[in-house]
Amino acid sequence: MCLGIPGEVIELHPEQPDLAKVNVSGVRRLINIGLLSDDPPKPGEWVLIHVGFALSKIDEAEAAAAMEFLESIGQAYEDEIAAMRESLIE
Amino acid sequence: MRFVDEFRDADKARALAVKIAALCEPGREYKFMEVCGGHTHTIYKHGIEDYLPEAITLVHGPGCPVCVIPMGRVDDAIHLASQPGVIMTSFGDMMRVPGSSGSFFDAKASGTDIRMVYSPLDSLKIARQNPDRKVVFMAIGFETTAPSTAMTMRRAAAEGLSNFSVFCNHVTIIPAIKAILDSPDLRLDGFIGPGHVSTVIGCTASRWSWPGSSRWTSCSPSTC
Repeated sequence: MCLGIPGEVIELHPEQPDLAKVNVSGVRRLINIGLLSDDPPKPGEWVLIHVGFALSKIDEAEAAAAMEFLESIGQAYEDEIAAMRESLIE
Repeated sequence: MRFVDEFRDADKARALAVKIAALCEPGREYKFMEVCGGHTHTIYKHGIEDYLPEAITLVHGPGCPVCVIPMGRVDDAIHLASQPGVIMTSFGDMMRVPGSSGSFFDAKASGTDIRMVYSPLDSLKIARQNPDRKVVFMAIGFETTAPSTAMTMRRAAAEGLSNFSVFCNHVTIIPAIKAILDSPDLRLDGFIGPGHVSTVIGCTASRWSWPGSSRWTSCSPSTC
């Protein structure tokens, strides 16, 4: 829960405007983008995800740097991805 | 992290180290606290501590909400979770934190219904699927996590979910930093502030001075 992880927005939910499908290290899950309702992310854009919510938009270079950092910390990041894989957001 | 290449520019880093060394007054010791565990990791990974002048010491701070939760809150949560009809949901990080009579994992092993979730929103699905049970989310975290809990509660209210509630243990970082400054045993000269918290509260929230002191804080653009 402590880690902010970058994800690429794949598509917006057709019926619920506060949900979007993202790709995080190959894991595709729905997240909530309601905190960014002033300027919602579009498909292809990157967001920083924290416990299932997009906290801010980031650019691709920031996302790559954050991924490099997260992969370097090992177990904590693997645990976060494993938890996200189990996520039930709908 | 913006400016990644700039931060990793060896020439600039060397020039900065020279400037930092020049700013150190002879005979004076400096202590800076990095607030977040992400900082601590970065400092060790890149050997920053060894690169700084000997007069500068980095102190590791309180930036992990799971680590700083009072034991009594874990006890309270287990008490709530063990009430008839209750499902407690919690981030996985909380599961091993000890209360006075064991952790969430211990309580779960004894039959208490405590379930790990990735997001507070996952708790809503559990609440929808179990209308005859009361689902209580163990809410914990600094400013980065609190908005997620608030959004989840708004969603629950909008859906009219009456069997979902939150055991709120959210904390804010600024009072924690001020409490550290109040400690008579710890003399600090500054903080490296938490980056992701600053994306929520902004940098100005960290701009205050301590009465009678030249101490200061600032925010930092880091992965934290």
